[in-house]
Amino acid sequence: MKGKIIITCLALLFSIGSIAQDFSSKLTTAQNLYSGAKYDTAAVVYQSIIDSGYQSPELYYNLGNTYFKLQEIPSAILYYEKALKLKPSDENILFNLQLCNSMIPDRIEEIPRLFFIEWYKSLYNHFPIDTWAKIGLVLFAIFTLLLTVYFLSSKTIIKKVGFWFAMLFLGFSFFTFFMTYQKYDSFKQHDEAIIFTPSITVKSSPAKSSVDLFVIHEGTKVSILDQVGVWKKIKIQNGSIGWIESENIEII
Amino acid sequence: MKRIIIFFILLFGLSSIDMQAAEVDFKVSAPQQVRLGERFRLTYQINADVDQFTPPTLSGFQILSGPSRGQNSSIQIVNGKVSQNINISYTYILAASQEGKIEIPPAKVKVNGKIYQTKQKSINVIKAEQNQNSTSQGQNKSSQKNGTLKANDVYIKAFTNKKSAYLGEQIIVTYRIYTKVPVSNLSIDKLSSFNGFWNVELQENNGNLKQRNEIINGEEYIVADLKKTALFSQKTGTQEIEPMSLSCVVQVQTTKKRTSSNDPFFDSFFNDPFFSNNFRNIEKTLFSNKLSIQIKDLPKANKPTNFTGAIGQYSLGSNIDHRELMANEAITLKYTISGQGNVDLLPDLNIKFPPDFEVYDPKVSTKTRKNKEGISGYKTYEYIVIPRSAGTYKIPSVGFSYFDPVKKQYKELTSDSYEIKVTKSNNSNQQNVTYGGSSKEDIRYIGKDIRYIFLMPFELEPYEHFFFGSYIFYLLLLSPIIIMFFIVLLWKRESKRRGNTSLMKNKNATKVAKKRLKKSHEFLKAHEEAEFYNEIGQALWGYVSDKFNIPVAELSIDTVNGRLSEKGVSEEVIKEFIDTLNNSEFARFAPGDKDSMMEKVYQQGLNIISKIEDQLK
Repeated sequence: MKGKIIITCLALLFSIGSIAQDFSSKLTTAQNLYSGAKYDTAAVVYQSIIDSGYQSPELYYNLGNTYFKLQEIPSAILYYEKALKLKPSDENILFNLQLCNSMIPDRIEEIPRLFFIEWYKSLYNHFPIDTWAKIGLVLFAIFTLLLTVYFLSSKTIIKKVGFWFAMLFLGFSFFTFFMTYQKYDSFKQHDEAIIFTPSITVKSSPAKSSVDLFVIHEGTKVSILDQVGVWKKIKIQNGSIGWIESENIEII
Repeated sequence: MKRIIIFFILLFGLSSIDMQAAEVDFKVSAPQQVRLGERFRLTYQINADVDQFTPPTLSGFQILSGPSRGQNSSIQIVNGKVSQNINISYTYILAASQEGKIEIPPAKVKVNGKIYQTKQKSINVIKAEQNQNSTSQGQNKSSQKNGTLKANDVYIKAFTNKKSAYLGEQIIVTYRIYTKVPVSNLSIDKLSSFNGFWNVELQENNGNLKQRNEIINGEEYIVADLKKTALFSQKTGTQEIEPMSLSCVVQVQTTKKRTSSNDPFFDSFFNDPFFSNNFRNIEKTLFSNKLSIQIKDLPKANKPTNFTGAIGQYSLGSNIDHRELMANEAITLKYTISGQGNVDLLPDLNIKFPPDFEVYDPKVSTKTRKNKEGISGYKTYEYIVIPRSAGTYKIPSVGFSYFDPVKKQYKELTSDSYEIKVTKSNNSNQQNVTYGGSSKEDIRYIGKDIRYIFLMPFELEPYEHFFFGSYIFYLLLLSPIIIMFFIVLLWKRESKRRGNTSLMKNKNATKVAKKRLKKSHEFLKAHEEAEFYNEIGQALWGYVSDKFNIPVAELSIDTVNGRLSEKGVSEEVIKEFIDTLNNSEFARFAPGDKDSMMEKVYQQGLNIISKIEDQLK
């Protein structure tokens, strides 16, 4: 049984390694193309890696940069957002995304969320999913260690301390796994999108004949709330809600 | 033969005579008689090349224009006979300013070193104001018979100097009035709105229109330029210029015959020609013609990258006042673009000064000259720059390109580049570059760009495949618990195997004691006295033996006493414990109610064990 598990683990690790081997040549090519200012070809190479079903924040970030150099700001924003989802507090990604956002036509005032929601969001966004998961595992391991101490110790005082610290670390690890799950959930949701049409009128209901509410431009980030056929109910950062057709947006 | 020779001699002789015979003829022509104030021409004509013309001093005349020189020459060769005709004329337009006979003194010319002069000419100036009226009436009778105005008596014409132009090329539009009748109160109602053009007025509109006479279709008109505008087109295609409208008062003479009254005196007085020629004022609005100009786009080919739309003919000059100086001293750098074209709209120069130079906004001054050919002038950019630190710097050359509409090509001009040697400023106290302190320089950001890409190597992972939730994750999550379970299990087994019972005994002492006490309670209920006391004793002795690791062989009141006080149990509790032990030994022999005695001992036992447990904690 144990042997089997170990073999499975090793197989998984090696398979990841071999994937990296396959794509490292492609990534090197793209990197060289980028440094040689051949951005359109670099974009094609990066896109082909993504199309074959792989991702990484660095990959998304590099593709975002390439699109920026090609003056395709909405695409650049889309890939920076994707990168940021995987690596929430990376300084380079945040810097480039901010620069891109300063270049899009819409300036939407973000309505401030309640401070604790803000804190909560920034807390679970502080680490990528897997970092959270790893922290949780370490905390859980400490918990079991302390529990072992509790079981094995003959001294009442050590037993007591061991027990309470074990409970504390159990609490910590549960909290961390909760955070991991939150992050995982928010990642799996795909409820945000970038506008790709240069200018689009947002409607009051999912029909072409309905009232025009407001106009947004390419590069603006929207949240998707609902869907009816090809129509998507969106919410922009200042809280306004309306409907647009899904061909105008690209999901992050 | 002789005859032939004679013929040739004759021929050449004659021809040479002919050449000689073209002798200088210098004459003056002017009318014999003029009216006061009337314009007339005074013309000097000469049929030879003039070295010098000395005009006469004209007194009693007002020179309206002149002398204007006119020349025509022709060379004729007919049967080897060469004849050259040169005709030079000097023309004055004069107006007599005084009555009487006025002498025009002779004019002199110098031809081939010889001086010729005209005859003296005298002109009779008469006052004939009324006569003039009558004659002018006679002159104009054809056009103004009944005080009406014919269409071609007065009109405005608009014309441009070119029919097609490049985008931004200068076009001159002239509005000219032609009139045969006196006009007054000229006022422009509506100017052409030069849509799609940038326009500059070339003629100062100060009310004084320059007049001249012109003969059109055999009729004499007074002509004046009303307006001259330089246009610079902003759009391509056929551009229309809307007509201008102008209102004026036209004076028309009427020859109204008065009905003759019976009063001969009155009649004769009013039939006087002075009164019979009435002027009638007619208000008239004149419209110019519509103009259309074809505007071509600038050629795409060979367009310089720094071309910003300057059109015309230009030259670029630059000038610097210092090339070697100390830090913190100022350099004045001047660039001048001059030429024909729209100087006002010339773009700013893009000079890349070294980043360490402090550059002030340039002083830009434009000087334009307006004349009949359009706008010309120059634009000066005066930069003041201060190098802040020592070193050798280069101010690169400045490129300026324009489109020459005449040559139909782009031209590029570059100014000189300058190398500047900056030495350290010697008043070091006020030196700008100090290290530390308040005069530290902020970092200047020159450009803005995204951060560079992440370089290899980095890891790729399958799309949306996370460590969290994977098998390995759960494996790693559960493994510590499993490991712990095994460790605890192994530990327990090991300690049992080693027979380390004392540890086990210690752990189970309380449990065992409580079990025995429970058992003794059952004996108590069954009134089995001997078994009860036996059990109680065993419970107590067993408890201390297990708890305090005292071998059964050494069990005695003394060892118990010593061991308990060693473990920090208080004297009171020890004493109570020993009492309870003694009680369990001796109570069975005590007189009295056996059951209540047993109950008392049992309670004592329970109490003392829990007391010791408390104290050990």
